[in-house]
Amino acid sequence: MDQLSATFAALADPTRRAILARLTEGPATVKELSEPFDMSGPAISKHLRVLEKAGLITRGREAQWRPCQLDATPLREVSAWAENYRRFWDASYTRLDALLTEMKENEQ
Amino acid sequence: MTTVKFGTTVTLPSNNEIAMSRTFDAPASLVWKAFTEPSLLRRWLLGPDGWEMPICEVDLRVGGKWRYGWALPDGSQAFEMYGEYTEVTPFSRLVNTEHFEDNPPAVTTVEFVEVDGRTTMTTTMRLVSQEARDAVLATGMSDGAGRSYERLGEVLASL
Repeated sequence: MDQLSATFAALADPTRRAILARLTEGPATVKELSEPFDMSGPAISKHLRVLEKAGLITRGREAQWRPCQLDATPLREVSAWAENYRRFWDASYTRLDALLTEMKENEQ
Repeated sequence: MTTVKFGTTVTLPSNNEIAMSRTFDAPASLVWKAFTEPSLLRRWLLGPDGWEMPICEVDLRVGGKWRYGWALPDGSQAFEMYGEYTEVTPFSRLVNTEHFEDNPPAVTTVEFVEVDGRTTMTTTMRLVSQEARDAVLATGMSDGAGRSYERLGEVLASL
């Protein structure tokens, strides 16, 4: 799987997105990450492995705690893509707003 | 009458879909009309300022073809998209195939939901394969490199 596919596959899961959102605030341990979710440590670890493989997080070397940290590089690619897509449509939709206003006035 | 502008949100419902949602201050019948009549489409479906839409063909029936073409007035850049309608439910739902450049086809579903005179239009593009999605991603990303870290929170919030 290439980088972007791995990123998208990792982002497709809501638990993994929530984990990433938590990590934007700073590094956290598996225990800290599993607290907000009704999930076992192993289940969270499985999600973390997917995120790690996708290059979205890195994990500390201390065997016991292994704090997780966000790596934003792959997300920047997704972000740039989504931003371009949104910009094309947003510009078009702003024109559509004006056209619809005109159409409503013509109907009255 | 003032024009109300709502925000456009882009979401990723699954690993081969891209969805976009936008609300308009108009009934579904008018949004549908603006979305399916070439003379109206040409006035808004233009992306960033400066582009024109010299090709806009809509044969609005199941099995009917559509083709859109955009160009800069000086002729320096142009691109086209085309496809076929597979479901046409007036004022409510439109499904079509979409071909863009050398990308494998995508299937686009547009849903129109009216509440209290306002219409939310949700466009979901499903790419037929992982390769297709990656090709589309590569196309859209060309001039987006190096965007700032601050956008990260925004993107995560929108996913």
